[in-house]
Amino acid sequence: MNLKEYVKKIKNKELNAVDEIQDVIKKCKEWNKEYNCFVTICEEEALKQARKVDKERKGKLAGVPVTVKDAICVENVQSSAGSKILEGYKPPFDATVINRLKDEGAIIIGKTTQDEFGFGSYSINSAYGVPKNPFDKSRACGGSSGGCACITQLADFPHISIGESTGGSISCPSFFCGVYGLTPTYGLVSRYGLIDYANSLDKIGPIAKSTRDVAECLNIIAGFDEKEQTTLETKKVDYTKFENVKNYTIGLPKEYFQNVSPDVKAKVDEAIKVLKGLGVKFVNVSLKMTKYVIPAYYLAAVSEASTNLAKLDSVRYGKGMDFTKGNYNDYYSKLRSKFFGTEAKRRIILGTFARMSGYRSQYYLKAMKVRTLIIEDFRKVFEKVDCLLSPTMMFTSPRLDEIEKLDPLQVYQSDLLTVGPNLAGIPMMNVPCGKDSKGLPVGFHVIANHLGEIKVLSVSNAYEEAVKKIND
Amino acid sequence: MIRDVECIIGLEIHAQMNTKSKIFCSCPVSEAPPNTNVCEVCLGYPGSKPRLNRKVFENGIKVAKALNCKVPDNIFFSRKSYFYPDMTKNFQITQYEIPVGIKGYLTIKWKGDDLKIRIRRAHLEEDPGKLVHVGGDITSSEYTLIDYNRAGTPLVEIVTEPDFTNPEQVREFLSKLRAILEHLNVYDSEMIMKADANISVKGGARVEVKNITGFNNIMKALEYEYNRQRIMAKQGIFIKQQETRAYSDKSKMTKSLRIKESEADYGYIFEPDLSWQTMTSKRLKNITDNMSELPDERIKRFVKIYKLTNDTSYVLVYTDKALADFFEECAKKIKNYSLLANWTTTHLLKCLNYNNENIKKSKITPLLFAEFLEKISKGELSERLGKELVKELVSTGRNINAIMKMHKIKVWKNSDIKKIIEKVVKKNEKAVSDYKNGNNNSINFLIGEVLKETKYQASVEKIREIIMSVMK
Repeated sequence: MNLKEYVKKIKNKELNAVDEIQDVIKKCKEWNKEYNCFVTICEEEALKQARKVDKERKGKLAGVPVTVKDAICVENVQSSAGSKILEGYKPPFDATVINRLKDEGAIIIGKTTQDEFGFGSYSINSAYGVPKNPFDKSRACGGSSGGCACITQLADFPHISIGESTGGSISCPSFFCGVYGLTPTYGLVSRYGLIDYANSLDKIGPIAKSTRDVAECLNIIAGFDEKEQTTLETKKVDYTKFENVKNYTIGLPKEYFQNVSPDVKAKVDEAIKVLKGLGVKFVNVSLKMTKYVIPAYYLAAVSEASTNLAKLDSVRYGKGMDFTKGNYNDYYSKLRSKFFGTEAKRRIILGTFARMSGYRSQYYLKAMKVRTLIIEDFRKVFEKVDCLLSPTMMFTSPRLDEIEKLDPLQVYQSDLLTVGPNLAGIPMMNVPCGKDSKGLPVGFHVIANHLGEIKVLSVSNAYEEAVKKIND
Repeated sequence: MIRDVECIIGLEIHAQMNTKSKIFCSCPVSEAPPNTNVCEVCLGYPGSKPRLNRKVFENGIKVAKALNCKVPDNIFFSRKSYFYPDMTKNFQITQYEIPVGIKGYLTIKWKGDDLKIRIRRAHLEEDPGKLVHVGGDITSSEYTLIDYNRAGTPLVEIVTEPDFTNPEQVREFLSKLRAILEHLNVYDSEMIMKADANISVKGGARVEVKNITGFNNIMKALEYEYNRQRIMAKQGIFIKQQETRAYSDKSKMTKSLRIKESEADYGYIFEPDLSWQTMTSKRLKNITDNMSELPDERIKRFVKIYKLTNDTSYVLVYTDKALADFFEECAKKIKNYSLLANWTTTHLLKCLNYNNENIKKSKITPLLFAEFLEKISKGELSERLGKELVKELVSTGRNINAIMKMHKIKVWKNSDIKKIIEKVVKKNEKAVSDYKNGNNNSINFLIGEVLKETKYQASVEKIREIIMSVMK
């Protein structure tokens, strides 16, 4: 049963949201024991919403279970961004995306595991346990929206997950778990209610089992929000009205095919063939700034992150410690030493250093300038092509014990293919395209110019439909 | 005699803006029980995002223009990081690289000449919350409470170059600045003005007196510090290291807080949650077209329209905008402008100062004052009595007829005065003949006698007028 059929059945009372959600939550609880994809399953809140849906029977997502990355605020539900320091923080407000989803009858069933504040590529920096890959539990789900991709792959019911990407946190786990994940143009989806990692890079986007589900969800969450000044005032687009890709020209950036594992490359090449068969024209292009994307991204991201994390002093909300005794500075150090994870501490220190006077122009300001050049790099390429296509990640999901042996710099390097478009704020999507020899998912990345979501979705959908036909 | 010591002073002035709501959220700026004028934004809750109050921004542009500043084409906000419990985010949203105004000046009158004080910058920022040190000050109190009502109150900060050579120039400058802010309708005289002042004498290191609250304290602190450093310098003692001092309202002295070793490092980054404000010439014009009359223009108008002297106009405009407004309201009702101006700037003002009131808070209204002056103007009330009765006018807000009735003060008609004059003339034949023989002083004696008879209630001018006609 696809999402549309399900919503129809809820609306005409063939199904009851309360029954469905009860089943879904039961399943989620079981899966969570095995895969650890949830920080919180909010059964009570979910059933409350389900009862409301059964009463009203309306909305484009009436009764659809939705899971949400822990960093996105849901009213009255712990929203801790995967961090111990925010344990117990139940926001008194809904994020704008949550508001819009609830208005369409969606039911928030839980908050998914993630790297603390999004700091990671494998979701291993989670204070609430590491989510495990549905295809091989000894392997990673990817990060930082790991729990989102994990539950999306596991779900055998209509379901959408809301993830968030700063440098690849939607694409990466979608690739490792074999699901569709869209990172929209920066500013298309309101960040109001997102617990910040790096505000100038953070983007909220849907993860789902099909292109159409992603598009349906984007229709609901996209659009200007007066509460969030970086949202764009754009014309309303129906993202489910896919274009014919026949006359599309897609660029293959040569820098994005280097150091890619042969397994992944072979699958992406096959996908390119399928798209060629649909009439898509491919050209080789070059993104010369690629060698600078990792340092530029990490400097920009950690600088902002280190300021964002400063507010977490548990005075007004959160974990709480007795701050009435002794010196405030001591309280502060003690609390933060205890409740921040190692990677969070590392990024606070790096970010504080990068914006210190004397280093600021050398690191923070330079990263900002390089970022402008990277945007320019993409802009030039998009004068010639509709989209770019590359592998989403360079390799399929690594084993968790292998990841533990990597040093931070090696981990940062694994983001090479996703941070460029994330820095540029352009839309991108992971499209699953088969499995490698170990049976692990592979996907390709479609990237378009600012506000080119419809192109990204059209390529994804065309490929999805074509493969369905081949397999039929 | 030892030659006088050269001194230089520079100021950073923070003035609270009079908008109804806070700078980054819609919470009201008003007196309220602690922690009630707050929301997720001004409390810095994770997930919340600031949005710029348009009115605050426009007010900032007006201030910049009035201070002859250049308004940059692209204006943005920055994050200034420092940890303090009154800061909900542990960073302050302020302006750093590109504020609302740069490189301006303000001309003040000094010893009959124009003195140009250069303005380095004008910028907008949020006020932090308020710390309440219970039962003492920061060092002696047992515990401290935090009230976040003030968090997010809009401030404009004005930084001058070190162009002052003595505190009197600062007084001139602050009066003019205050008048400008009031005339722009961005600031009310009841609101808080704070300053940090940098003072040094030639040959000595710079001393910063931090966080002085209120116009009068600013002046007292400056005078104290100015004299302290000059007296020391005259004895050959110079301050060797940069120092931060605080002014105590109780002791009326400044005391050392710390020796400054280096500039604090605030790790500024661009505020990524607020969009850039692009100042097109059209937008700038829209804002400045709405700018009200500035004090200097108003003084010129007063001289021209009401035929007042420069000095009187200056007092009316610079004391308190509301006083000038009051004058103009009265001027609609009474045409003797010089009498009106004279009474407003002397007796009325003295009365207000004595009661520690301002014209806004006082019970006197333009109508009451105009009626009162009408009586004086017509000679129905003597100036001497008027000076007494104006006090009651201010403190009770009752009209002059009622006050006169209460005190059983007669309105002296010409015929009544004439009768008394006839009586006095009969009794004092010698004085009358002296006058007729050319002794002009005798007339004053006669007037005095008449006045005595009227229990000092009649107008001297009126008596003189009648007596002269009688004696002809």
